[in-house]
Amino acid sequence: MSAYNVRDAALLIVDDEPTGWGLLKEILAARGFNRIDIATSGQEALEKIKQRPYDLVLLDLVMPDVDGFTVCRTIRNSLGFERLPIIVQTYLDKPGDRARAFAAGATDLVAKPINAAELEARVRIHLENRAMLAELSLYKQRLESEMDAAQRIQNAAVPQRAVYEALAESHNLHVDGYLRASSQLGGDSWSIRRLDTTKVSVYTLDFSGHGVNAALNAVRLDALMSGAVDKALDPAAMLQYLNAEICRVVPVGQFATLFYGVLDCERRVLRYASAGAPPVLYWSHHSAPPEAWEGSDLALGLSSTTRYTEKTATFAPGAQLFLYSDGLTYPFGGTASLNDAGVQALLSETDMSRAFRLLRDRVEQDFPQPLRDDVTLVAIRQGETYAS
Amino acid sequence: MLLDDARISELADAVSVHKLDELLQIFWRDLPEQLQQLAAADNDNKILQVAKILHGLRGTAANLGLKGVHEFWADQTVSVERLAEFKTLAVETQAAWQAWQGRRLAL
Repeated sequence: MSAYNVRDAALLIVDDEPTGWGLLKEILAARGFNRIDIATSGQEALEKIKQRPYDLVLLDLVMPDVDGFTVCRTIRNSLGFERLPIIVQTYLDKPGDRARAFAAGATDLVAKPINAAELEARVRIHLENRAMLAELSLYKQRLESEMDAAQRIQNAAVPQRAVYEALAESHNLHVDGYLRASSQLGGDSWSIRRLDTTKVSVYTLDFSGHGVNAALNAVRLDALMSGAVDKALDPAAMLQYLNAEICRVVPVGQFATLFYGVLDCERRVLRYASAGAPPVLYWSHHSAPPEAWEGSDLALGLSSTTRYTEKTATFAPGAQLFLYSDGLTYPFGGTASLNDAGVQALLSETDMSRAFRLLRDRVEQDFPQPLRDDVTLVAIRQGETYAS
Repeated sequence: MLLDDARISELADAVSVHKLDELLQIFWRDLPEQLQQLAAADNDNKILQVAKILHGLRGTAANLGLKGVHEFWADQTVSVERLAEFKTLAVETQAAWQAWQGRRLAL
């Protein structure tokens, strides 16, 4: 508010009585208001308001032809100035007029005979409110614009179709990914990247909370993982490293679940470790029933002494992996709600690509919007024809 | 009391004696036309119009601290005699204002 001077506000006094508008004008001018315009009829007031923006209108109710009530309603309804402050002048012995004025859209009243201090106070309060609302509105627009930009950056950070196509070409891996944040920014992330001609790493992560804080933490974890790729750490060592970093830099109470796997397409092996991640579904072959791997070790950031265990599974041609975040099984109630058993049942009954599409559509169409939690889905299938 | 002393003082403090005098001159200037309209409305038995004019007149008078004018029309009765009586009151009120103004400016 420091930059805003209410005395520079454009005021319109509407009163057919010369002594009425004259008194208001003199009172306000004596208090430093320097942009005061006069309309001596309701019709003239409406014409003036159409032609130039005013910051506040001081309106007499009793006028010939177009009265103050009509002016008020027209400003609000026909001219569309919903937030323009309108202070009406009214006699205290007319309570019915006061109620009618508010019903017509008045913002406030000032009692006649006009008291100079009261008039100035009411004008000032409504001008300051208007300026604050305008500032808030601008701030909201700027914030939304920045959030949109941040969301675009976050969305672009997860693998795109070009990555899927490259992996299909180089490693015969068929990948589908989907990430939908609950607010504009989310704490979920995932990635799949080529480590060398035969190996690919994949992870899904879910930082606690939603919004900017969770998103920044997720970006931080993404950055740590990118930096660690060159260290060629095995999955358990990777989680160990990440846990130490998260415990060091993230405040107590914030944590992340993470699944990290390294696929060796030549040796047909998947090595993985899980830090409290939701169950991962694994098919040794897409014609076999899926197994659910529960995340056994503690989430990242809970204890710096946690030791992570590495597990191994064969990942031969035809093998599949399905990863999802707990946003998919958020218990919001209703028939569209899913639990882990429901996800597993769906993936047992239908092929993974179709199940992926069904789950994605369910999140988009049947889950309550905005989502209560971020949702990530990742489906990976080793093509039948992989050969080193 | 022809003038509401507290109200007149409040207005003089708010806008200056000079500006208040200007506003009162406008009131006295417009008054004959208002009285003509009042007499015509009363003559034509337009009760609502009479009430409207008197409401405006009394409101303006109260706003400007003209207590005598405000109270004169409290009973809403209009007649030739009352109009003549009011004109006398108006002259006396203007004189009272001149005296008030003189006292204030002498301070």
